[in-house]
Amino acid sequence: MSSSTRVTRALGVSALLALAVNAWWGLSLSPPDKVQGQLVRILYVHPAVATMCYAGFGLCALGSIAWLWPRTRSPRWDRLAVAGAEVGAVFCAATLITGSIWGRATWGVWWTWDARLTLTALLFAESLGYLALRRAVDNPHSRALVSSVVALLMALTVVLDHYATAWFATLHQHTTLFKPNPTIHGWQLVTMCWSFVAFGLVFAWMAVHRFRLEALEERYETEGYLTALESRRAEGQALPAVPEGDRVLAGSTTSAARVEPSS
Amino acid sequence: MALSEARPQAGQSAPGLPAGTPHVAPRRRKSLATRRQKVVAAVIVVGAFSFLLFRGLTNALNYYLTANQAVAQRARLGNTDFRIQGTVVPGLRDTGGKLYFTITSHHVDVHVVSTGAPSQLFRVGIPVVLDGHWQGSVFSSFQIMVQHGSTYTAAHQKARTAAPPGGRQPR
Repeated sequence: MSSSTRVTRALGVSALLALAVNAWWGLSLSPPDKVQGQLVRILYVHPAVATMCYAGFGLCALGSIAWLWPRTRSPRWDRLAVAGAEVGAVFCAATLITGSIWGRATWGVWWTWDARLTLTALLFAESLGYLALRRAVDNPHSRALVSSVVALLMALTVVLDHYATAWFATLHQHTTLFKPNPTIHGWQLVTMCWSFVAFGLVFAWMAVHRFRLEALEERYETEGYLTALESRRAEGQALPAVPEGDRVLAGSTTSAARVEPSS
Repeated sequence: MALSEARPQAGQSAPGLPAGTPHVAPRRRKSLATRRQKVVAAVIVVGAFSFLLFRGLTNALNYYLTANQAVAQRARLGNTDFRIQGTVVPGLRDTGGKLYFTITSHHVDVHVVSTGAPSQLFRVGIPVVLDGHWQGSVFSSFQIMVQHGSTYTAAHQKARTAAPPGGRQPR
């Protein structure tokens, strides 16, 4: 059993190629910035990674809403939710790391408690809580129900996080690309847009694999249980008929042997 | 087949087993944590969540005061630490570990003496956020944070690339 198919392999190769092009354009073709100089090159990683983090939690919210809606409820949506959350958590960690590196170089600090950074940290904590919750609850229905509620909370945090720079006074800069007149041009704009394509492909590859892995895990558990049941049936049929009184001793021969000499 | 339907409960004999088979429940997937560990994990998560929420709400809602706001609220602020924001104006002076400069916001100037090391982007004309407190009419800062904008412009350099598709030549 494998989580890969011809399509996912093609997706993986495309993602690798796109990342290579991104590195080439970002490090070579794109010029340094007037203010930030060479530091601007992290622009071709950090915003795209942060957007994929939002996409992951968006996917999680979508799956959770579809699972909560009685008409569309299906384990498939729950799988989509967990795939989105897990990939979103990975990208959220990458966002915090790349943002921290960029912050140290440009702002002069690794971390500060402004609204954008705090909400991103909160989002990461929520995603870890979501994943921990899924491990803690055994019943599939309860697990999906409780985690769906947390997923909606994460979606709310994503909205707050996205608009944090507009709603609050922050050290973090405002949006560059997603506005009517983007304040970036030329190769910088082209490379930045390409970084979204590259990390989008990485995101898609990871999400598809995680979704399929969840399906395989469920299948493995079901098949594993049935195999174990068959095995015990076979063992039971192979056992000789043991009289009722001897059954206890047969099950604990060592303890019986130890007890015998002293009695 | 749903797993919950197929699995017999612990202590019951599995359907279809002969009478002589020991009554052992099939192994269920073990939960990764005991009840106590779950409670501890929940406390940690809730604690971290509350801490972040508290820090976020208290700081984010009033992350900094602009220079004019800080001057207006000087009496109320006293010697307490807060963050002030403004743009660095010409007249930067570095004297043996202390940095003297002036920031401005909405036509209000604030003189600053700083012991904090600024980042490489620190220069005249750039907005900064400073951590510190009032010391008379001067703002005493221990940390300088450079607040760069969201506008990106290619630096003047020898063009080492062809003209970008649909873009502008670096000037």
